[in-house]
Amino acid sequence: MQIERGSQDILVENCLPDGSRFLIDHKNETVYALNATAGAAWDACSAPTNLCDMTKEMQRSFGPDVTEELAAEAILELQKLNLVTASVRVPQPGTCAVASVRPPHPTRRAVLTTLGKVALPLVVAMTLTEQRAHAVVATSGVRRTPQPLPAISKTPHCGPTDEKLGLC
Amino acid sequence: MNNSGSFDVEAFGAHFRLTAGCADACATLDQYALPWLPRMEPKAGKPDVAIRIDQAAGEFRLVVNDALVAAAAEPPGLVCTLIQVLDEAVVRRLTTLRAVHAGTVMYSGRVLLFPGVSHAGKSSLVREMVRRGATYFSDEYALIDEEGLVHPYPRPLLVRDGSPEQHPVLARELSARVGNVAAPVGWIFALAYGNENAWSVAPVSQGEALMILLRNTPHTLLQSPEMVGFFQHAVASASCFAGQRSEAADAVEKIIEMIGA
Repeated sequence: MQIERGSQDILVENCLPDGSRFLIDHKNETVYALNATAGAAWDACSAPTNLCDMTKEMQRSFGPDVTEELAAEAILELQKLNLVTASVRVPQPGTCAVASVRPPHPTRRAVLTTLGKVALPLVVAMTLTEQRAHAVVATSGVRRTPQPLPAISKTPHCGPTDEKLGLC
Repeated sequence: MNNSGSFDVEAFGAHFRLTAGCADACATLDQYALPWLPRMEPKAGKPDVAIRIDQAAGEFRLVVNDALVAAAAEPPGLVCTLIQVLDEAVVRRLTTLRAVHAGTVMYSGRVLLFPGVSHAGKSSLVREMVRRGATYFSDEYALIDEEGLVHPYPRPLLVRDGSPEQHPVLARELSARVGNVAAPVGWIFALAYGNENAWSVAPVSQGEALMILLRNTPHTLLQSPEMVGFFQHAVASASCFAGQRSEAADAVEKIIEMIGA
């Protein structure tokens, strides 16, 4: 059983004061936001690890509120977006023993019952293509298609700035 | 404004020339075009953006770099388009700042951002915050520098008041204090409006808030990758929230309770 990062050398990682992370994957042109819980899980698998060690590592950040179920939930979040690869076996209550090659699927309810002050792990992703689509609409109102001036006989000057403005 | 009805304005490194051929149109430009910035005599040379209001064929025409962009029966009918043209020209020419589509006010010395798309109700929240003593920065764009500080861009507010059409409101009409220095971000509230929404807002991580800013910037990451650093500094000092709200007055009351200022 092993958990390891999927993209070892293509990520730029930014740490934020609240423990959350912002990752940039230039190769896959995707950015990721990890909340503090997912960020701690991400840190915990900076080298190949297993669920037991990962849970212990996360407990160093958040204390005993971190359970194996929560760590497994964090792995699933990271795995959904291919940030980690995992062959995690189902944790037995109170142990780090494992029994399958599939990641455990703790129900949300099961994870919630284990939570104290630790937030559920959350990873959000956006591709650069999606970001560009957002940028198009993040303007002050509808972009207008300029019309040629009927009353002006001379050819409008189209310098580089005009082209940037989309006015030529 | 000189005798020919023309003046220049410098805004965030861009040079604008505004010209009008009649007194009403001159007054409209003077009142609504980047109103917090000083007017200057036209300089020699070609401006980055030349905006004029022409009167022809019984209508007023807004002309930008010799292209017609709008027409109306009276000059005030051109104001919303004028403001949008100025916004777009400013945003496209930013060099040391990066924009986020967000309502922006300062409260207790720190900036409160309301990122959101058009029709998200940014102006309503800003106006309500201003009514409760916040300093007006902008109802449309937060301009963020490399240290994460937000600079005022106090354009006239464009408000809907329940109507599909916007109309301009000057900060002075709200008796608003207008920001004149950059300030750090204290709070980010990404709120979806719905008139039947119940107030439902939860904290989000600073990483998620950074993602929210990237979803609401007019710049693309491909062309402006440095903005991640700008926004990272901005969110680093902020408490961040997301959720849904109903009317602006109720929402602002809850926001002020939450920020405890």
